[in-house]
Amino acid sequence: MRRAGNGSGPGPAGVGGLAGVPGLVANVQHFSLHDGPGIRTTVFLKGCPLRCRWCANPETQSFRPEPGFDRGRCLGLKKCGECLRACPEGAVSAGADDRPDLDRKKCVRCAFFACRNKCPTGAWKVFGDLMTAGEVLEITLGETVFHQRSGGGLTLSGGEPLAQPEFSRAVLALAGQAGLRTAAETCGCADFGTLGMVAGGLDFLYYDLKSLDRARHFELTGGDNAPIVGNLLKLRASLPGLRLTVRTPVIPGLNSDEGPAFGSFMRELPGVGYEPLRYHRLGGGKYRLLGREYGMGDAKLGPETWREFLEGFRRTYGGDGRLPDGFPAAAAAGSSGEKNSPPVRH
Amino acid sequence: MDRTVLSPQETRLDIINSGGPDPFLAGRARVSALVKNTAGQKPVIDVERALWFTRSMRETEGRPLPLRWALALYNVAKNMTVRLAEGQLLLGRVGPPGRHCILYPELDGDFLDLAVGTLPDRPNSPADISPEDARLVIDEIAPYWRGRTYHEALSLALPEDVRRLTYADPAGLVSRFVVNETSSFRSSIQWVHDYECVLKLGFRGLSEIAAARLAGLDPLDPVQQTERRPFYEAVLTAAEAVRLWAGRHADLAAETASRESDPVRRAELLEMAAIARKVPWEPAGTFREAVQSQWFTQLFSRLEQKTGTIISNGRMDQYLYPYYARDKELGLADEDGALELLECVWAGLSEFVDLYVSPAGGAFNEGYAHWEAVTVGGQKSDGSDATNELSHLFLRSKREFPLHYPDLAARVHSRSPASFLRDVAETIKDGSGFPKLINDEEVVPLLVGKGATFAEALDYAVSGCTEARMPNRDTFTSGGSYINFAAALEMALRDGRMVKYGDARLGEATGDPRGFKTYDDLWEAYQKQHVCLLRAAFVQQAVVNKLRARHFAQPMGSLLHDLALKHGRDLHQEHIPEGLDFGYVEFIGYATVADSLAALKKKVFEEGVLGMAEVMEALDHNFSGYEKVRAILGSAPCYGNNDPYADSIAKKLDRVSVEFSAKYAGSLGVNLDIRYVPFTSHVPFGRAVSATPNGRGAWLPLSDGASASQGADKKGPAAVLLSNFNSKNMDLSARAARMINIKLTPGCLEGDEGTEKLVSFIRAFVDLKLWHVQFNVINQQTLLAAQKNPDKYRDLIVRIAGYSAYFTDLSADLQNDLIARSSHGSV
Repeated sequence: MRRAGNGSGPGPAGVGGLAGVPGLVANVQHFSLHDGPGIRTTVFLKGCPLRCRWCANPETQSFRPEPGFDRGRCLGLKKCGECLRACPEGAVSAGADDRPDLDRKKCVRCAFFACRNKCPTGAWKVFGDLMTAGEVLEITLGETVFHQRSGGGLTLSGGEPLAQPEFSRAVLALAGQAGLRTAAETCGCADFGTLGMVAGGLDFLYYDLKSLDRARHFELTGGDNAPIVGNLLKLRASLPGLRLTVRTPVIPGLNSDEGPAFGSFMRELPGVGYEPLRYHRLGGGKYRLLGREYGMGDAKLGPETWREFLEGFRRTYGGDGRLPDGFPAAAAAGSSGEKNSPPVRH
Repeated sequence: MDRTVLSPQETRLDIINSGGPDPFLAGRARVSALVKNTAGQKPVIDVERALWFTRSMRETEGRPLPLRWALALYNVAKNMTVRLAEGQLLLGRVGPPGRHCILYPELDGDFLDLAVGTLPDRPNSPADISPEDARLVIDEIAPYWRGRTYHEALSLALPEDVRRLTYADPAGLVSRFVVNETSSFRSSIQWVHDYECVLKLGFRGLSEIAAARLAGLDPLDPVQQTERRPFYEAVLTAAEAVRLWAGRHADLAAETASRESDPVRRAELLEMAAIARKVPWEPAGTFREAVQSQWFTQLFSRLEQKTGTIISNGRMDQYLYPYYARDKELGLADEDGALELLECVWAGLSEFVDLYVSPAGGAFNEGYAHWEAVTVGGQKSDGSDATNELSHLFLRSKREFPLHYPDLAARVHSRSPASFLRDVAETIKDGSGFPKLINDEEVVPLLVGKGATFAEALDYAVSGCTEARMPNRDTFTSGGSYINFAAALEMALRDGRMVKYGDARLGEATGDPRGFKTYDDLWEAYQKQHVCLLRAAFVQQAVVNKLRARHFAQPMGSLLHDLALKHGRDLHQEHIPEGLDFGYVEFIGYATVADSLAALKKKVFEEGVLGMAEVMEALDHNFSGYEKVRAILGSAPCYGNNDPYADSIAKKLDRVSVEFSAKYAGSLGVNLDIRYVPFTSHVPFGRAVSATPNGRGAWLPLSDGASASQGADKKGPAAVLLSNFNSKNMDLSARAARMINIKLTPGCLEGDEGTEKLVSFIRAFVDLKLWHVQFNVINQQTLLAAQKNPDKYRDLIVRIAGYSAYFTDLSADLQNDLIARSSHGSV
């Protein structure tokens, strides 16, 4: 098994076998500066119930491991061709430009991923590795000197952490035992029991809300926003101590006119932070790796549209014109002088 | 990666390149005029110091060396042209207007006549010389020194087996780039004088101490009369030389004032003359006098000898502070005035170039390397935090004034105040590589462990690149050996030979690598070559230590040193009672070797996907046609990723070296600590090494310092620090600096939040007890653009190796090496 971290030993022996709980992990991001306060280790879980058109992490959507191919890193079939010989299903064939082609229908996503394992250059990758909660923690604790000094810690992201609740809960419980601060990023699309269980182990939570218009939300994400909004309100009521920030990716032409709507909505949620995220196109390349089409064409978020969204929000939210901050307590508690400006998610 | 967030340096260059005014020079009319012509200017060689020094040495043959040296300095002080720069507030310079350098024929006089012909056009750090001055070198200076230089003596004294690893030619002029000696590059390693004693006592007070010592000698004791007496006479002569030289500057200023029509400038000149009549002979009274006294002292130190890449400035925020505070209290000084005066010092520094005449010296110190380190922050001798107003003022000057002088070093410790670290982080974000950070939590315990008192250790000054100097306790002045351990690796794979040097076996016979059955076989072969080079370095040092006192003396430097003055011995003597001798051996190519061994261990001996024969074939062809082999080797774990597989190999490499030092340095009576500080030598060392199993192509740069191989660090800067921590042998003490370069994009440090995260990163670095770290905060596109259009980027400053330099002064190889270093920033 291939892992982002190190070590071949078992993870820390957790209470009740928590360390052995398996999960499917797309990636572990080290020295992560933009997924919560301080310097963090961010674990991207695999699998998401939504299918947002602009998704910047398409490799985390599917609940199964899937291969990706980076043409630029390939040596070419004449010089190498290992993948061609390795695939037990014959899903890899000779394609154009001396490069292999993958027939994704034939690819059974075999457990051993011969294409990736034999590839000398890393042109073939597999998104989705089975890891135990203990292994995730071991990697994270290896970087803990940075978390401690920065007020950082572990962030669960995805994909959707709530879609692997047992694993998420195990990782958070182990992190709690180790004294790590924890955060998660969620789309809120789960039954409330699951959300409550995972959120109970968190220091703070980013809660993504893409549109307040039910029909539009369905159109843009493939999911219903009623349970998402409902969960948010319930969560607020049941875990009032949890630090919470609602985030909205502002997508040109899709939800960029909803600034006032979000302002009114957030007005009813005092003490909850709000952070609009500027649409960016950095995920575009990953669609190519996965052999998929990027659904956003060449859409760009102009500075004018962005400003309108912010102004609309402020107009209905009221107050002193500043965006509500999700980390007032963090700023007060942070011994390292941590600032409470909102992180920028790239 | 988008170049959406720019560092202040990049912003400034963009403004200038689109025809706008340089925003950083606004409000700094005086200093901007002073530095206008230094950026990108080729320096001019001035022969006066060499000439007057040589003429005196010719007349004093046979007398004790420290005394001869002092008389030669007196001759220089008496005869050298004195000049003052238009607009400068400080008196004292050692060459003509603009960027200049001086010659030290006692080091390289035997080939100086040949060198003056090639210096103007050589690729690394060239310098011009006038035809008249060239004639003086060829006809007068070089002929005297031929047969008398240290460098010739060393070449003759080295045992043959060590000599062939050191030099590639019979004359000892061409380096082998395997076990490089550097003691002939300069007469002293990086050094810090006790400037404070000059400010407090003046040369007069110091002379009185020396005179009392002289008077106290037993007139009947033959050793005291033949060794101590000439030493004290020498230091007294040196003090008189400094006094004479300062006085001549005072005369010049007064005389210039009499011809000056501008009343403002005339008043300035008269004040400068009055100050120079007082200091450095008398103690300083005001801030201005203190700065002038220090400036004269460090300049005269440059005339005295070549200190490795320029004498350092020490803890300037500490020893200048009492004068600054007093003047401020009395209303004689304010922040802006102090800033202007200090920036006059920086401007003066920027005009002087430390010329390395030998090709090896030039290649080791590209871009006119300079380490006149100014130390800020840290702790006082009693362990309290030392940060003061001046510490912040130095940082402010660095942010506002775009000059890569002085080299600024910040000492950091576990209780460094948040306000100081925030200021440090803001300055790093400016993007020109300042300040570098040195960690008290590693340095102080190591100094104490090797014999210093806590009070001395806590008061160390950063010296040059990464060294820590205790100005009254350190007594070892010799440059050390640089070992190319990638060459050891090549020898382990080629039965003691290197592709570059053909059939000559330079190392041990360790057999055909195709016969290695296990990783242990490979490791054993490597270790033999490794130890062979270590042994050569230590033998070099043993020879060097015996030779130096016969060739070098530094009467002024010795006058400023408590122990030299107390025991009546020149600092260049082999041992000084009560002194602490800290020498170094440089480990070059750390990650190159660690990654290569990890790749072979994993891919050949564990996974068996490659055979040694296949690997050797690929290396022989420099991977051309063997891209797949290269890719397989390159997919193995690499040092710099917090990966125990590679880090444990790196740790073993360190251990073998540190244990060797622990065992054999003692027999030399000194510390010879293992360091990872390449300056720019990883580039010329790389030019001697063919393709390596980590996928590095033939003749390309080796990895730099204790950083990861170029581009091999995939897990961010935190992992680079952790790998350094993992690969240190904390149970052993024969270690010193590890130089770590981290390149960040401005985008990842954006805003206050970015500053705070950088502060946290620095705190974690302190916790990890790593010695040194420095940052380049720059966009890749900027470097590429500067390489393409050098004329538009003459001002672009980048951090190289413990110092910063103009990017366009660097060779194409080194530019490419900087561009290839992994840049952390994308999330």
